[in-house]
Amino acid sequence: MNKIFITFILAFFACTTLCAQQDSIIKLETVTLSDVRLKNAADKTIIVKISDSILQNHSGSLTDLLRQNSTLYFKEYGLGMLSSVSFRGTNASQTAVLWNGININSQTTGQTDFNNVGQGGFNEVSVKSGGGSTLYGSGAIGGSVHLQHNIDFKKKQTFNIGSTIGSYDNYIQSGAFTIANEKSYFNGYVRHQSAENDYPFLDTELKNDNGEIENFSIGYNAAQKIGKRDMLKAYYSYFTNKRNSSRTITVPTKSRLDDKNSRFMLAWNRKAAKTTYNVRLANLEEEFKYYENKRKKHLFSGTEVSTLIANADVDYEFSRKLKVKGAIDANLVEAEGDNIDKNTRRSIAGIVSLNHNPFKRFSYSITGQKEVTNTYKVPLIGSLDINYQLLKWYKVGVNGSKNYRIPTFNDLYWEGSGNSNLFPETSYQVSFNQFFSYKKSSLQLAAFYIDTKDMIKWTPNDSGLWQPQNFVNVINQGLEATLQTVLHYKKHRVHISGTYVYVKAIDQETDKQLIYVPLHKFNVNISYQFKKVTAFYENVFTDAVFINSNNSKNLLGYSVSNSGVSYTIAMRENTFTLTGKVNNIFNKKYEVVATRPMPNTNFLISLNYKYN
Amino acid sequence: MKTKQLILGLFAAALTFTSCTDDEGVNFQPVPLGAYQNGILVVNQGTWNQGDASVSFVSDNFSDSENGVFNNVNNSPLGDVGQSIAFYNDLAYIIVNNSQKIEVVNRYTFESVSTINVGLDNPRYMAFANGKGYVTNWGTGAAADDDFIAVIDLSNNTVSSTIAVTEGPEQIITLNNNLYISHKGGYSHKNTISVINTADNSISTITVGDVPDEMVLDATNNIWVLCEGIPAWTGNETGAKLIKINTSDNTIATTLDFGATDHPTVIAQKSGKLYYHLDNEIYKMDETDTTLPTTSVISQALTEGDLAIKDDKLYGTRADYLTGDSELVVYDLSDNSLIDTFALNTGAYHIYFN
Repeated sequence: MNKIFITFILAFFACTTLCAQQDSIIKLETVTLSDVRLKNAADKTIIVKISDSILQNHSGSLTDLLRQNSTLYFKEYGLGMLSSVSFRGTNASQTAVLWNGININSQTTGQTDFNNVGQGGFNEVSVKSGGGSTLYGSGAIGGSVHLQHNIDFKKKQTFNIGSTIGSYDNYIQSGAFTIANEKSYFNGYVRHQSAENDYPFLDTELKNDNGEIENFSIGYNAAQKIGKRDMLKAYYSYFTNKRNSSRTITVPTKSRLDDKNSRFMLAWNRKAAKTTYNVRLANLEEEFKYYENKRKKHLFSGTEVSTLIANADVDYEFSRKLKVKGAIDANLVEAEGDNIDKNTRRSIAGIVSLNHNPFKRFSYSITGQKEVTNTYKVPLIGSLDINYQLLKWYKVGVNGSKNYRIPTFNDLYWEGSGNSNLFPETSYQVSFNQFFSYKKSSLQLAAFYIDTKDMIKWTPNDSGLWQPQNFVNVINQGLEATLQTVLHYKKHRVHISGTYVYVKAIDQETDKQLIYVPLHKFNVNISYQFKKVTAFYENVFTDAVFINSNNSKNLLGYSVSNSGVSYTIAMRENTFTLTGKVNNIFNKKYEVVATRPMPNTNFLISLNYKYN
Repeated sequence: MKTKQLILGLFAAALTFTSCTDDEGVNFQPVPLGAYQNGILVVNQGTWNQGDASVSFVSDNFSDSENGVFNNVNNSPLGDVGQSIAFYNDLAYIIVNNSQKIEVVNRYTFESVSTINVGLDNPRYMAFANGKGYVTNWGTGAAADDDFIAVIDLSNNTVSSTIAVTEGPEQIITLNNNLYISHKGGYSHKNTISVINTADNSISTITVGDVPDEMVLDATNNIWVLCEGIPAWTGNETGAKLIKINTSDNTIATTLDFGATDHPTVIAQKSGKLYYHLDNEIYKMDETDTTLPTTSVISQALTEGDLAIKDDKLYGTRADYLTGDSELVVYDLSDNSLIDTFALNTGAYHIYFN
């Protein structure tokens, strides 16, 4: 009752940003990217950017956002539950997720649960395909996802507060403010969500019992210029996530998972005439507790991981045509849990990259990275990227790289079955990229090939004990397409974006497609704006997936559509936006993971107030 | 399957996107529904959280077989993790562990009679005494103090009361209205047999070897308990023991020690002989033997899930949890030769004669 009351109070004053701003992808040059390596990334591989305006308007999870706006496929164990990504058909630990340039994949599972990432603190999400992500070290085999807060030194004072009410007692409240001028920047944010999540399972008498979620996110992003050359930045994020584990069609549940993550980063940046220095110190804390029975709070198993990161990058510009980078990454990871003895991993990596633009239309870049750890040997990796601007509206590129993914703490040290002889998975890949652009439209096409060796898989040993081994070899081949276009006619504006991905991910021993990798995935977003009103429609089609390794069982594909309308009133500095959205408008019965139905038709109403 | 392994298996599956298979009905002629007498029933665990538990049937003359019997007859999924079946008069009680329920069916037609889904918590095995059913329950796996026996009122198939027991009650057998319950230990490793007198529900305890699981009644109505020993991964490994309980006074009559790293898991009894499975070999001994046999009667045996004997034939199940392939294998005990194999559904486990 209390939550409802608060929600209504907030709703009364509140407002969401306009859907119509979905096309504001062009970014201002005054913006300082938080991920220095993304900005300076030597390669030019396919990037999908999701801008602040979309993020502000988005009331779903990070899973929903990326599923709807990129080629990524998510294996989501029921709404709000564990959500693991597959990028170009690779597995969840082969996608690097970076928070302001720092890798935040869990050290215990190697992957990021996209329903366990605090929202509200980033104003740009970028998705970068392929192994060109060499600069990010382990895990960047399929590609990388960049969650960033970009800092803009422009005088402003903004304040916004928003509230969303949705079906099945879904309540979201959020607030943020930014105070900035030419020298200083401070952004603070807070967000809370709670949902009963007890949607009915279509065509059954069951509902999504034990599916309650509650999460809370708070943090800040700050920067201060010192003199003409120096800048200090600080980023902080704290996130707690309490999730019961939804029942399935056949399994009633009473378990619960509590996660807690805190991240802090201090960065120093100095710009000299030809040299730029970036030094970053970061501390990541991750903690989870699994309760087999949520009512027996004294019985849980958990793990705590603490990571210290120190990075130093030096960029030197010989000329506008030739730039080089040298960097050192040092990591100290300490994990301890009920099933993992206390273990420490120390690693240090050296990175060099060169970006050369010898002719007007031709550029190439080379990156090399070598990591040394106290636990296993890591291969020398590198990438080569070549781009040629054939025509004003057409560019081609080729990218080749070698990448790796390190074993996780669970793989290495799980009580009784961890295997300390594991070594990193390695992959070789090549991607052929084409970029078309014409006025406000762009089309990116990529054909890719990834050969991953020594993949870690848990299998029963001779005595039936499950243990991880390096033995799987998978080849992924596929195509990716990303389209954006904006059409104008007087006060009418239509924005269309879509992605398509085709991927075959074949286990070379069995000659079978990997489970939970759809052959086709397609999505489209269409929005139409006329004056103060915007209507939008979004659809994701996901092909059938195999759910067992010999490909005899599959899960049907699904096409799910959402639609909505928003209305904006602006009065001087004040903007109110009211948005109504219907998810799964055709009441489609579907499962993303077998026996775990997803929601039927459901509704969201958001009110947002913004002052600026 | 051992619980820890089950959990690790689940964990591994989640990590690597592995799953299992189901060759439902590939090589089989359908049999007329309702004719499940005179045959062998196998409960298949399925894959954890995949909801694909099932029951398979093979006729005594091996001419007919059918997978997914419950699903076929009742047109609904059996549930998640088929654990065991217990029989009472014309009824079969199928215990579906992770679905927290018991499906009650006519044992010959497999038509659903009732579902018991209230009052169970991690149900494992069931036995009957004094006109009542008794079901072992782990409760919350990690909790040592909430384990119980659910007492089933067979007139309406509901849980009528519970009897609290120590941690990890596993298999349960009845002798003279006494219940013998092996405390394998649930998520931990225990070493006792509880004896419940169903007249007054009084409990006595017999301490045996570590991790007691399977129990068989021998020709003289004494009970042999196969204690598996604590597995190596714990760092506290102990060897298995085969223990004979004198049921006249519930004392230990015989203890036979296996090697310190030996962990047999299944045992069967027939006509004064005991058979057990260890490291893919099947050994045979007399009930009167005072030492364990040193040579096996069947080597490279394709079985590990269960052992059962009928009419001089030995039946075993084998489940590959990585590929999902499962088999029922049949040996002729007159010459220990392999007679036949049948492909079953994922996770083939206990064998019953119907």
